[in-house]
Amino acid sequence: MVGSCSYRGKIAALAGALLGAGLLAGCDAATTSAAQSLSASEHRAEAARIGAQGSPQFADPKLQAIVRDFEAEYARYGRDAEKLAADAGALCPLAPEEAFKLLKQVGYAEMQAEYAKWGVTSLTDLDAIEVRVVSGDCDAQGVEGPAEIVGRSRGILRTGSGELERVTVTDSVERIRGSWAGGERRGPFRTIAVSRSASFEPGAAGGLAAEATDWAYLAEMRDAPTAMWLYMSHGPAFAADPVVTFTRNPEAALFGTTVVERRADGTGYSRMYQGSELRMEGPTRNGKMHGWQVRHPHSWQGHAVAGGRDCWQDGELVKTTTCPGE
Amino acid sequence: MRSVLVALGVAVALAACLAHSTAQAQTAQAQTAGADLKAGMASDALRLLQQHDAAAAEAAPSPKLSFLAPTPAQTVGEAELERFLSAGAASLRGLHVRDDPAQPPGRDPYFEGDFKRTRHAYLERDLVTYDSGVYAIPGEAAYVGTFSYFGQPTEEWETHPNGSFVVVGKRLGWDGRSDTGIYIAEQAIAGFGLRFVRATPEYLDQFERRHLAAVEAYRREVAEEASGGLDLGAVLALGFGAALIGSSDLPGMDKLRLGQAFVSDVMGEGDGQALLGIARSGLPGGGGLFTGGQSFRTPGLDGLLAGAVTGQAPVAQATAAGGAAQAAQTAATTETFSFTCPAGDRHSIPVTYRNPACGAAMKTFAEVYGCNLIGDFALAGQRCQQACGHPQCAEVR
Repeated sequence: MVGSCSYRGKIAALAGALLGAGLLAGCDAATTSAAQSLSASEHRAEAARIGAQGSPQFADPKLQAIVRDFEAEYARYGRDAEKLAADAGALCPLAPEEAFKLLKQVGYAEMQAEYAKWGVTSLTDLDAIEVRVVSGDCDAQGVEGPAEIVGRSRGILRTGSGELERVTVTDSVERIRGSWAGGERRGPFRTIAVSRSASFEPGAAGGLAAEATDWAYLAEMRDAPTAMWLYMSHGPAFAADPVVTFTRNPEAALFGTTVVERRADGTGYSRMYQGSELRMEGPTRNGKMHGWQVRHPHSWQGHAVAGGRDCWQDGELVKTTTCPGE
Repeated sequence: MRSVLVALGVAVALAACLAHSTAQAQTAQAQTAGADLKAGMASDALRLLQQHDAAAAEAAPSPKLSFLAPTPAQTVGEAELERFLSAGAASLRGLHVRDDPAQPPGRDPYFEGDFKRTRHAYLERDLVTYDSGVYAIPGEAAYVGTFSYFGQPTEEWETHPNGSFVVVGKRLGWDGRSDTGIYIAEQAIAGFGLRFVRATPEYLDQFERRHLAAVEAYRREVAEEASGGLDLGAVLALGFGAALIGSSDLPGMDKLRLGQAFVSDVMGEGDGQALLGIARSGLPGGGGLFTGGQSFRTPGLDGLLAGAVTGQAPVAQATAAGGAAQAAQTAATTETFSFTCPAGDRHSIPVTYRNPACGAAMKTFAEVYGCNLIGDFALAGQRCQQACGHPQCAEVR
C-alpha cells in the first residue's frame, strides 16, 4: 500500500512537470527534458546511495576472503576490458568451437539448442573468438594444469519476433584463472568478465537498426560496460565451496552480489544483495530454487517496495501456503 | 498540493529548457562515438543470423517448437462471443486465439473447447469465458480440464476486464510429461495470453477468501446487490478447492485423489503437501482426460492425450464382492468399486484398503467426489477420519 501511494505520488510529480512544461510555449523539448531531468536525477541518486554501501560483508572467513579478493581486483581492473587483457600473451592454437568450450564450459551446438528451447537464437561469431595465455600452457588440445587465460568473443542473442524482435550483440573479454585436468576444470576458479552490449531492432530493407533513445541517461545506461566476477569451484570441491558472483554497472545502478552456499547432498542456500542490502534469499536443490524464496522489503528511489515470498519446487513456481524445502 | 507540483514542474521545465541545448550536443557526441562500433556489431549479427536462419529452414523443426504449433484458425471471435452473450444460445464451442505480443501470430496461445457465460464481479456484467477444453501454449504446454473465471478489480478506463483463471485438470508438457492438478493464471487481461502456475488446494482456499472479501468490500462500496455467477456463498462453506475439483470433468479416480489431497491439505490435519506430491508424480487415472471423451483440432493434441492415458490406468483385478488379497506383506485388498451417480452416469475405480471399515469410507469418498455431491464432501472427509484415522482415507497409499 505504501509503495502504491508513493508510486502515485511519483506519477503526480511527473504529471506536474509535464503540465508545467506544456505551459512553456516555444520550448519544444521542455516536456521531454523535464521528465528526463526528474527521472535521471532520481536514478542517479539511487545509484549513488547503493554504490556507497559497498559490498556485503560476511562472518564466514571463506566468503569474506572472496569479498576482499573481489574488492582488490575491482580496484585494479574496474570495468576496463583493455586492462583485463593487457598482459595476455600468445594465442591459444584452438579451433573456434574448442575455444568456445574452453571459455563457456559448454559445446557451441549444445548452447544453441538450449536457447532454442526457449525460442531464443544464441550465436557466437566463431571467426572472432580468441583465447590468449597470461600464464600456463595451452596447445591444440586446450589448457592443462594451472593457468590464467583471456578470451574475447562476440555473442548475438535474438529474442521475440515481429515488431518485438530484438537482437543484442555483446562483446566480452573474460579473464579466467584456475587449473585444468584432462580438459576439465578442477578446484577453485575465478572469472572476470567485462562486457558491452548494443541492442538492435528490425530496420528497413531487412537490416538492423540500433535502438534509439533521446533520454541521455538511458543511453548512458545502455552503453555502459558491465563487469562480473565469478568465484566457483569445480571437481570434488564443487559441493563444498560457495559460488559467489559480483556484478557491477554503476550507470545502471547495478551493484549485485549473489552467494550460493552448497552442501554435499545437493541442497544449498542462495542470497542476492544489491549493495549491502539483502534483497532475496531462499533454499536450492540440485541448483534450482526449492522452498520459499523471500523478497525483502526495501526502498527504491525513495519509495518503499514491499517484500513477499514465492514458493519454488525444483525450479518451478508453485502457488501454495506451505512450501517444503524450508 | 497540486499547485506545488505544478510549480515544481514549471521550475524543472525551465531548467531543462535552458540546459537542453548543451545536453543535446553531448548526447549527439556520445552517439557518434559509438556509431562505428555498433555498425560493425549490426553487420556481424545480420550475417550470422541470416546464415543461421537459412540452415534452420532446411533442418527439421525441434519437437519443442512444433509442439501444438502452428496456432489453428480462430473459430470463435468477437462476433461469436457477442452473439453467444446476447442471443442466449445454449452452448458455444470452438477455438479462440489469445495474443502473446512476444510471439508471431502462428505461435499465439489458444483455447479450444466449450465456452460459458459468467458474471464479472467488479464490472457487474456478463462475460463469455472458458468452460471445459484445452488451453494450448505452442512450444510449451497444454492445460486440459475445467476452467473457472474470477473477475478482478478493473478500472473504468481499462479497455479489457481483468480476472483470474483456475483450471482443474492436466498439464501436458512439450517434453511428454503429464501432471494432474490445479493451475491458476492470476491478473489475466482479456485477449492476452495466460500464464498458468501450479497451485495447491490451500492456496485456492486462501485465494477464495481473498476474492470473496474483496468482492464483498467492493459491493459494499458501490452499494449494489450481489448477483449471478458462481454461488460463492455455498462454496465458502464447503471449501473452494473441493467445489472446483468436484465440478471438474476429470475421470473419477483423478477427481477422487485430488479430492483426498484437498481434504488432507485444507479440511484435515495434513501437512499441506498431499496435492504437491500427487501433482509431481502424476496420477494413475483411468479412462481419459475427460469423461466426455472430447476430441480436439489442436495440432497433435489428440495423439498426446492418447499417449498420456496409455499405461496409466492400473488394472484392478479383484471383484467388488470379496476382493483379492494382495501380497501377504501388505495384506491389502484391492477391489473395483462401481457406483452410479444420481445423474445416471456409472463409474468404476480401484479402491485399496486393509481395514474394511476404512474401505467403506473410501468408497463413500469416491462416490461423493465422483458424482460431485458437493453437499457431502465434508461428511465424506469426516467418515474417512473416523474409519481410517486420516481425513483423506489414507490407510493404504
